[in-house]
Amino acid sequence: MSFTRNIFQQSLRGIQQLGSMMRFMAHVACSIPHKRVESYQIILQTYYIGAQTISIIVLSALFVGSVLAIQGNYILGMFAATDQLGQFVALSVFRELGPVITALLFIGRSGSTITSEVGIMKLTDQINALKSMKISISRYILHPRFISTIISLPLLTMLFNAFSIVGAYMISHYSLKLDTGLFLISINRYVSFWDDAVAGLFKTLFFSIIAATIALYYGINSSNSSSGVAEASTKTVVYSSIVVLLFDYILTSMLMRLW
Amino acid sequence: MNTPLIQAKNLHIYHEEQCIFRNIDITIEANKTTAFMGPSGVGKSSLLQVLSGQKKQRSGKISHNGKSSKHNLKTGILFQNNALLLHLTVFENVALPIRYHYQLPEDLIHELVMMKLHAVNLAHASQLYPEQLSGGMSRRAAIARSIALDPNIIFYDEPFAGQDPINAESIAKLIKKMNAYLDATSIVITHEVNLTLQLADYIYIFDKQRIACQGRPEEVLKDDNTFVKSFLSPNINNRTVEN
Repeated sequence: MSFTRNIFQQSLRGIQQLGSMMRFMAHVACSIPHKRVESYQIILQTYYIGAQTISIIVLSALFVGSVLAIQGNYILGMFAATDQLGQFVALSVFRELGPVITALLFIGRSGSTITSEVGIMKLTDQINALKSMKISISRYILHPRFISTIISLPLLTMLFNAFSIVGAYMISHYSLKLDTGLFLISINRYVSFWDDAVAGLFKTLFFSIIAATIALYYGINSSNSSSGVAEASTKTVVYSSIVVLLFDYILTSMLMRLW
Repeated sequence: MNTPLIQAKNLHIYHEEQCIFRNIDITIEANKTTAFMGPSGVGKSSLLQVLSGQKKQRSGKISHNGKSSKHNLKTGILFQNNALLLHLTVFENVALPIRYHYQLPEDLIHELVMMKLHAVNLAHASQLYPEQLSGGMSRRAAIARSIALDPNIIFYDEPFAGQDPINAESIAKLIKKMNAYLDATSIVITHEVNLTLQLADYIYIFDKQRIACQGRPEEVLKDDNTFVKSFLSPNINNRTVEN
């Protein structure tokens, strides 16, 4: 009986949290047009959470592209279709791997940074200090990070896509000794800019809203202790990753019907 | 008699579900320094949060300049841990509220900020980050930020905590100087008995959800309450704060 009650209470708490997170997202997103935007803060945050993630994204993209080339060569080789490797890699990356892996890497690196930074600001009374100076927390803390995430994630995804292709190209040329002309022709012929690349970036837009909302929500609601901030960062990474994968499934199902 | 700057009546303050203060009355006179004293955990900081508008009281009425409507007082708050923004330099910390509230040319902002930093003897450290400052310098930087908008009332939460006696004394002098220069009212929360007796015009001593004693420093010293005597007597010596 207590087990069932426990599950019921946990579910209720989960729904309550989801509700307050949605309300928080609506509050942050809807208040952006009504407040003056701190453009300097947006540039600064885009540098911290976007530009400083570039090296991780590029390196990961090169490895993912390389692995895709090796696996693709093996699979396509079974059907004597290795000349389609470019198409195989590009479609996998543009439609699925690029948006999802970039979002997961971004959450691990920048999502947790946002949560811990905001959590520490709360813990050390910096947020109370801003309130005491009648400085809007939304305008100074939430909006810049929210907008920066929405700017950064699609750009990082484009970078990931490009460097994955570079990684795959290099492996096919130097290691697999394939005809790289065919590699590029197959991308050019079979990969659609709108249906594949832009549709992938459309998903990224949702992922960036999810990542920003969850990171800011847990940061601003973290408990006032160092362990509370650490717990909030962990929750951000875990829940954002799960929600991104869930939304990836939902959006892919929807987009597949449209395609 | 002048209208008090802040008057709180029948105040009940709770922290979550725990009652901190029950039915207390507080009067803050304009252009005076009022000190709140009492043992740790008695709820002085919560009272300061209520009076400064950061937190709501459970019941009771707070009026500002005799009006019960939401106050137009410009407040400055010195937080217990200074609460300087760690990613900004001392200059930027002080400039932040000025930039946010006023559209002023950059050279004027620079002049205003340097004036505040000169007032707290920190002009030389304007380009340092909070992590590069000593405890006393951080406290002075936080005071400079709290006076950035020329407040009518400044709340000091434990300004002497963690400071050596020389630093504590220089901060006490600074508080006096700020009051004189800005024509401001100060509320100081502290355990430092000697400095408070020299600094404050009026003192409240709290114990167990109530006011144990209140009055001018000389009246508080003569109070017969056992708790007040035991709180004050071990700490009293003859040091003075020069004007």
